Amino acid sequence: MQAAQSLAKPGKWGNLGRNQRLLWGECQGSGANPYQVRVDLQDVAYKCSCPSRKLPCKHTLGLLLLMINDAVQVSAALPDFVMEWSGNRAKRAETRPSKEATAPDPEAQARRSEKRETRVLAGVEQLEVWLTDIIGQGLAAARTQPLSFWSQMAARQVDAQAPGLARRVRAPLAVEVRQLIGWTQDQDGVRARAGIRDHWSVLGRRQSEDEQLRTQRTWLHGRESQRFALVLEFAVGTQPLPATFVTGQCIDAELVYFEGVPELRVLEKVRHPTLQARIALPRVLDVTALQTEHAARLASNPWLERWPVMVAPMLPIMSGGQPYLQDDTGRRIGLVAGFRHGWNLLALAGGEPLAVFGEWDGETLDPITVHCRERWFTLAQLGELPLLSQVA
Amino acid sequence: MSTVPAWERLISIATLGTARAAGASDDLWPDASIAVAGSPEQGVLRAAAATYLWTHAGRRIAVQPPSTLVAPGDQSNSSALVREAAAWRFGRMLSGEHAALLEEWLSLAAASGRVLPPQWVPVALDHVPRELCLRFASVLGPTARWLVRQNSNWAAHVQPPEPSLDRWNAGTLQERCVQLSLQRVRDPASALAWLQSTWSADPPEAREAFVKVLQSTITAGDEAFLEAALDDKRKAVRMAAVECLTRLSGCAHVQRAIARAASLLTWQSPKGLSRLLRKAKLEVRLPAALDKPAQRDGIEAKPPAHRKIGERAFWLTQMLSAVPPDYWSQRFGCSAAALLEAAAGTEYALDLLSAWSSAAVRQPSSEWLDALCAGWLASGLEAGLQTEALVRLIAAAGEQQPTLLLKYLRALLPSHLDLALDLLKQLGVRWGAEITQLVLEALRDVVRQDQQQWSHARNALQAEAQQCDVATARQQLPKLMEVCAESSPWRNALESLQDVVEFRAAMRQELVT
Repeated sequence: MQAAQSLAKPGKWGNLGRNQRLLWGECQGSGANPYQVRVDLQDVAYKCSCPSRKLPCKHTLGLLLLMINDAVQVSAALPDFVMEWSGNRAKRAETRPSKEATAPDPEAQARRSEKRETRVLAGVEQLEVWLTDIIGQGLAAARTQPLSFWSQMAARQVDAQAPGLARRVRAPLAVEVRQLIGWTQDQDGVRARAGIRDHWSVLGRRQSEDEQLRTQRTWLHGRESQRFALVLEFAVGTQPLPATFVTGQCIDAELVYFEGVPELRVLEKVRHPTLQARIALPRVLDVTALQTEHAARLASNPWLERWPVMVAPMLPIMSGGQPYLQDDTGRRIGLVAGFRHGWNLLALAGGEPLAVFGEWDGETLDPITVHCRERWFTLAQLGELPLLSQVA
Repeated sequence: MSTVPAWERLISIATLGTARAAGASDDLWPDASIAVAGSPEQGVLRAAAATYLWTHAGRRIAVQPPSTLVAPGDQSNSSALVREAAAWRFGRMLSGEHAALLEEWLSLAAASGRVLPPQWVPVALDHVPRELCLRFASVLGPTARWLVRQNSNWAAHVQPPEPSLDRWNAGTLQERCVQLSLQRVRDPASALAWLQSTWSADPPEAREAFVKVLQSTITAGDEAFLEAALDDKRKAVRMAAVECLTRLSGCAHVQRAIARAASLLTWQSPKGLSRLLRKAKLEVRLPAALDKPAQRDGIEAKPPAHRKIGERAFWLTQMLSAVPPDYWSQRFGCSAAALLEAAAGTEYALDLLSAWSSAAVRQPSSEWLDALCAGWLASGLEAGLQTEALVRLIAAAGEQQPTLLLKYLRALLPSHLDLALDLLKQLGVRWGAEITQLVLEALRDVVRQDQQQWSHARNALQAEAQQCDVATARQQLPKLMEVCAESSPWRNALESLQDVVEFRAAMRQELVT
C-alpha cells in the first residue's frame, strides 16, 4: 500500500484516462517500457503489464488512488492497449454462457458419477483398514511414523476423488486447513433452482489461503427468511478474488442454497439494484440457546464443524489473560485460540453488553463482526495490530 | 461405570493399541444403548466418534460468579470521537508508516478536542510510547483510565508517575534521579530536603548527578546548599554546582564573579565631537593571578592540553563566562552590538566572543543573544563552529526564539542552505510559514543548479519534512518539482519530502475539519 501511495502522483503517469467503466494509465517503472495498467471499474477486474506477482500490484493500486483523488480526467478515446484488453474480456464473457447452452449428456454424467462413487468407496475402505491398523498398533507407534506416512494416505484419497477426506487426514498436521470441500455440487444445477429473494445483510467476510487456493467466505443473513447463508468464492494462483459483497451492506438478491444439512452455502442467482438499507441484526442467542441449537444441528449432521451464530447480549471480559463473552445469566463462552481482539472488544463495550456474530464450533466462538450502540464493527488487522473497523 | 472419563480411557487404549490394551468395549460407549458391534479396533473408533458427539452436543456451561466490571460512565458521550479515517491513519503510523509523525497526530487530535474511539485505545496503549500517552491523556480519553483498572500493565501509560520517597531512598541511581526531578517539579524545597537527607552518604557519581538534576529548576532557596557543594571533594560535583550558581541571578557567586571580572574590561567611549571621528575602544586586561577563592568558584588554573590558549587568557574567558552579559552593557552604557564590534578589534576577539556566548546562555538576554549570533556569523570561523554557536544561543532564547531564528535564517539564506538546515535540525523546532517559505525558496535555487551527486541538504530533507509548515510547503513544492529535472539527484529526495508533506496534510484534514 505504501508503494502504491508513492505511485499515486500524476507525475509518474502517462496516457492517463477513464470513462464510466474503464480506467487506464501508463506508469514508468524500472523497465524500458512503461507498465500498462487498466481497470474495469464495473466488474472489478484489472490488468497490469508489470511482472509483479502481487495482485493487485502497486501500479494498479496507485492508479486507483489517483482516481480517488480526482487526478484522472474522463477521456473519450481509448488507447490501443485498453481497447484490446476490454475487447478480449468482452469476448471471454460471451463464450462463457455458451458452455451452459450445450446440454450435458445425462448418460455420460451418470457413468462418470458411478465411476467416481466406486473409486470413493474403495478409497474409504482403504482408509478404514488403515485407521483400524493404526488403532490396533496404537497411536504411540503411529506417532513415530514419518510425515510421508500421513501424506501418502492423503494422496491416495485424492486419487480416490475424495479430497474432503484427504484434508481430514492432513488435518492433524495443518489445523487451519478445515474447509468442507468434498463432492462438489453442480453449480449450474443449483443455479437452475428457485432461490430466496430477501434483503440480505452482509455480516462479514474472511479470506484464507491454501498452497494454491485462496478462499473467500462471506456470511449473509436474510431479513425476512431469518436464515444465514455462506458464499464461498475461490481463486487459483494469481486470480483476484471477486469483490461482490461489502461487509456492512444490505443487498436485495435472490440466493439459492446448495444441498446441505442444515443448508448454509449459497449461490447468488440475481442481484437487484443497490438497496439503501442498513444491515439488520439477526435473531440473537444466549449461551443456553446457543448450546441447545448446536446440539440439535449435530443430531441432524454429526460431521458439522461450525455454524454461524449471533450471540447477545454478551459482556466481553478478560479473565486470567483470556477473553470470554458472558451472557446475562452469567454463562461464559471462550473465544477461538489465538484470538487477539480481546482488549479491543472490552474497550468497545466499555462494560456494556454487545452482540457478536461469529462461527461456533461447539466449544469456542470465532468472532467476525460486532454490533454495539447501533454501529457495526468487523475484526480487522493492520500489519500486526488487531483492530475493529467500523463498517456501518 | 469407571471413574476415569470415557475419553481418557479411549485415548489410552488408542495410544497403546487394541492389540495390547484389553478393555470391555461396551464400557467405552457414553451410553450402552447406542453401542454397535464390530472388531475391537472399529469399536474404539466408533466409540470415540460417539463420545465426541455426546460430549459436544451435551455440554452445558455453568453459571459463573458475576463479573465485577464497572462501566467507565461518561465514555464516548463526553467528547467528539476521532473519525474512522483519522483513526486508521493513526493505526498505520502505529504499524510503522511515518511513525515519526505520531506526536504531531496526537497533538492535532488533542487540539481538536477529539477522543480516540474506545476500541482503538488498547492498541494505542500497547504501541504509543509511554511519554506520549501521558502527554496526550485527553486523546486516550476516559476509556484508558477504565482499561487500567482491568489491566494494570498499562498503568504507567495512564497515571503520571508520582514521586516516592521510598524509591528515592532505595532506588538505583537512575531511578533516584527520576524521583528527585519529579519531586522537584512538585515541591522544589522538599526535593532539596530529600537531597540533603542522604547527601553525606551518597557516592560522588550520585552527588554529581543530583546537582545536575537541580540545574533546570534552580531557585534562590538552593543557594546555601550549592555554595556548600563548591567545597565538595569531587571536582565534577563542584563544577555541577558552578553551572547551577551561574544561572542564579543575584546570588553571591554571581556577585563575586562580577567583582572579580569588573577590572578586566574598560570602555573608552569618545565624547562630544570626537565621536564622529573615533570609534569606541575596549581594553582588555588579563588577570594577573588566580587566587584560591577564584578557584573555589570554578575557575580552573590550567587550560586543557588541546586548547591553544595562554594560561591567563584562559582565566579571562572563564571569569567572563560567569558574569551576566547585561552587566557590561549597563555599566558601560552601550549596546551589546557596540561592545562586540569593539571586541572584534582586540587581540582577544574570539576569546571574548566565546566567553560572552557562554555567559549569555547561562543568563539569557535577548539583546546579547542577538548581537552574539551576528558576531559569530561575522567571525569568519569555520561553518560548523558557527552553526554550533548559533544553535546554543538560539536554543537559550526562550520567547524570543522564533524572531531570532527567523532573523538569522534570513542572514544565512539563500547562500548557506546546508548551514540553515543544520541549524533547524539541531534546534528541532517547528518551522513557521515564513521559515518554510525561506528554506524552500533557497532549495529551489539549489535544485535548479545542483548537479552534484551528494549534498548534505538532500540527506537532511526527509527528517526536516516533519517540521515544515504544511500549507506553505504544499504551495511551494510544485514549483520545486517544476525546476527539478527528471534525472536530477534531487528527484527522489523531493518526492519523499512531498510524501511526508502530503501525509501530514491528510492528517490535518481528517482531524481538523
